[in-house]
Amino acid sequence: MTGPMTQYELDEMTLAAARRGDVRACERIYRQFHAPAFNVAARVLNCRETARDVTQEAFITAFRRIGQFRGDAPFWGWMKRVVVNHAISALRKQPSAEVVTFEDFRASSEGEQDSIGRAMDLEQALAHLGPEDRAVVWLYDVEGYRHEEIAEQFGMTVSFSKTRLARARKTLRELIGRHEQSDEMTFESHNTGLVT
Amino acid sequence: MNDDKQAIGNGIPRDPLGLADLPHINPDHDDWSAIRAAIEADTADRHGDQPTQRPGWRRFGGLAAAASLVLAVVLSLGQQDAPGPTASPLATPTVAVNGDVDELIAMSQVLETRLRRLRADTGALPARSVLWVSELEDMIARVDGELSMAPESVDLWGQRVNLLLDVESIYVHQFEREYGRMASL
Repeated sequence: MTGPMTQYELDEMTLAAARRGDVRACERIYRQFHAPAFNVAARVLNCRETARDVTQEAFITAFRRIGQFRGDAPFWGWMKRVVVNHAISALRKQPSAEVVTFEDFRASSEGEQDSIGRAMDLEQALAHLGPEDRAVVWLYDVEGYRHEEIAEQFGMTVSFSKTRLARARKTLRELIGRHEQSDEMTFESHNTGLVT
Repeated sequence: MNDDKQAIGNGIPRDPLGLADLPHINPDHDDWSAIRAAIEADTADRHGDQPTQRPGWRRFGGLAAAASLVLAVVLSLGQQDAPGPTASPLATPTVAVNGDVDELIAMSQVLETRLRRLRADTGALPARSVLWVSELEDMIARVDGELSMAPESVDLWGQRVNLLLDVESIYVHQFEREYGRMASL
């Protein structure tokens, strides 16, 4: 899971109020979880507009069903499953998607700015993956899903998840390697030009 | 879900490429007003304010004449109350769309009532079932939208009844699973 855990903890008072249908409690939940929910959807879908729709639908579903949330697991884990369910459903309906561009990312600190050069390569590589490969590698590597959970989400077998993960990582490595090689070649030819 | 990046899941190391270090994609929108409107519409619906969303109800609201067909549905639904391997999403009963509109509206009313009771009695649904129910309810809402334009359409009322039967099947299935779990304790 990304980010500090405290950001993803929901206080019991707010949860209880939301279960009673208190709209202000629902709004507090939305404010707290909107950004991480959107991030998951955008990463899985690679499309801001679809991610926005999915996030909205997921919150509506979550508030409709919040009475069924048992409360024996973290709320964010449950909420994230709802988001991922909607995202995978959208993924199947709309395989072609607007690519998330590098400009979409907001560096919040100087340190983050420093790492942007390296991140951009990985970012571009991730955007080049097929929709299902990207979703699987993101859910496994970043969101901490198990293969069994990914398989369930997709309605496929565990082998499907493992195969897609392996393929996605291989493609990412190749793409990153290709970029690095391309940069080196550019650098070398530039230097060569200077020498001559 | 497993937050450990190091190979607890299936023996495969987590995130060897450092994807988790990529910056968050932040939303540049706020859709709370649309979400609030949806929640409030649900609340109004729960309080029986159906005519505002379903004009068809207003026109056919007093229909109780479809006694034979309704009785058949009630009886078949009543049988599903008994726990056992009777109900399955794969074995959802369907209604042939050849009755008259009054019968279908009455069936729809019966199913709505039954679903309200099932929602109250059934515990938490698995995430996948939540998604199915949500999608079915979206489809019902779309049919309701079309019914507002063609409130006498037998085809549309038939679709509505069959969608309600699908939703009902999911709840019954879950109810039976919970009943079985309790019985095994």
